[in-house]
Amino acid sequence: MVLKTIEINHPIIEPLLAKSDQELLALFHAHPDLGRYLVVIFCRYGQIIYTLTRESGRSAVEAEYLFGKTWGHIYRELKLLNLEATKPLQNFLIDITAVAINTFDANLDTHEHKIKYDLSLTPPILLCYLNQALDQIPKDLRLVLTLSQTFNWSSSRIAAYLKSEGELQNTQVRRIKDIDELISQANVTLTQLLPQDIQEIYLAPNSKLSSP
Amino acid sequence: MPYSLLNPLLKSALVGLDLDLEQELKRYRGEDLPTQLPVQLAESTLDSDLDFDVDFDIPRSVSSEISEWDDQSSDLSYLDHDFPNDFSSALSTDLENTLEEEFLDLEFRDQLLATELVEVSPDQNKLKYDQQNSRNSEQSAPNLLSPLGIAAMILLLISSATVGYLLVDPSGLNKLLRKDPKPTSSLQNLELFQTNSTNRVEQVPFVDFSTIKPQEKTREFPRGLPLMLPLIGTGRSFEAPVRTELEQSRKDAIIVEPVVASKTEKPKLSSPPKTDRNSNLKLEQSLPAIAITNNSLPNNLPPSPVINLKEDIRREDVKQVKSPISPNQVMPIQVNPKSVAESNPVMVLDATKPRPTAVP
Repeated sequence: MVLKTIEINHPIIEPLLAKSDQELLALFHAHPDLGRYLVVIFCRYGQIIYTLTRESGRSAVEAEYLFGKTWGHIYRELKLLNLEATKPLQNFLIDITAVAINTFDANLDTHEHKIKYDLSLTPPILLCYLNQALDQIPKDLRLVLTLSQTFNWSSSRIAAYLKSEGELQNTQVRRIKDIDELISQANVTLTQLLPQDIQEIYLAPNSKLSSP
Repeated sequence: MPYSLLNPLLKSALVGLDLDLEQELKRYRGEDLPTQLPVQLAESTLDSDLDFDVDFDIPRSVSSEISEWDDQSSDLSYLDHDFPNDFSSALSTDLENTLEEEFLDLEFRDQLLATELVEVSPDQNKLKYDQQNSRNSEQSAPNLLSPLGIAAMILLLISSATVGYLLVDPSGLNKLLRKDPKPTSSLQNLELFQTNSTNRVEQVPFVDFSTIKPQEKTREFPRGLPLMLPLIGTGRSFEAPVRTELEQSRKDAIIVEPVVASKTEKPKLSSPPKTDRNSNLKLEQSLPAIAITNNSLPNNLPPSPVINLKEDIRREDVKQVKSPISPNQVMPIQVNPKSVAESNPVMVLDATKPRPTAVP
């Protein structure tokens, strides 16, 4: 049960590995538009949290899904963390992991049949910033993007749905071509909403992670 | 194709997203906002100093207000502009509108979060709890001073005292439960119990002779009681014997016959018994001392017969005289000296004559 953190060899990450937790947290709060500090924290404590989630008596798929969800919780809580009155970062992360495990257990029935997460294809840190970008993207772009990519709807189906909905709200989207254009726009917008260093670490053509 | 622009890793990440279709559609309609984080995490074991800037579930009424707000803003935006035929311009205006709406949404959500945080903050909760407690205490304080409260307190005191008494003396519970015609205080009960337990009094069964049947009278009685039984049964009063006269007692003599069991036994006469002055057997002159030795009696002397008073003394010789003494005392017996002398010629004691001295 060894977690492979490929990000650790990235030229953006390597210089930050020598920094302390407090420094990383301070930099994380000082530069919310950068994701490299969270990546360093992930490289440092990812193995501990991965072990905790794997040893909680679940299958490998559930453990990996829980691992990704846990880092989503960590990302949101780190943004709210008070640096002056906080306990050691490791304890903080373990506490959040425990809360995430309990939350997962409480909603286990809802997660059973729809786990599609693959840890080898989607790094948890990229997932965190992807969810953040989806929250920031306009709702019509988000809808066409998720319907087309996540739920695998065709453009015609999306157009029909938007047409039915558009009679009430927005009648501008009527054609399939319009839907394709809208999806393309959504892709661009989503990518632009990701932090620049995250794009370089995960989505760059020369990145090891970009070609799984 | 626009899909080719999408990074494969980003595409795979989108495929693996944990999203709900219904929520996405509702989100598009503006009916419901997705929940990013459960409230449980905000109330978790994290530091209390954390600012809980967390996404909460917004009630449906609020979301409907937001949707109405969105509809109004979108309607207003589209009133100002004619629908352009060009898709790109329409998309750009739509994007502007949606961005404004999202901004407004974010502002509204921040306000909601601020209000929610005030409620979630532990300090605020503590303050509210303290205030509520103080109100409750203020409300409950006058209730104790009301008559009902005083009565309740008195009842509580009595019950506690009762329980305490029963704990000290558990047997008192039986006394309390027993229906006693004579109401006695608990202290008297306690004393009675102590005396009964220390000194065991045997209760003598009461016999009512007036109600019992005659055949039941034949039960066993102690000695001495059979003498009184005929008198008691007939109901006659007991007449005590009359005191004997002094002259008669002088005339009458008491035969004191020494019984010789064997020849070897030395008969020994002790000094005469001293009698009281009031006694019927009082003698005016002291009896002479009798000294009996072994040589006093001849060897050929026949043994003296034993006098059986019940057989030898005739019935008419014994007179019962009235006497004030009780039946328990020894009744005087008057013996006729002549009859005694005839029956026993060995020794006759006459009070009028001087006592013979013992023959050596």
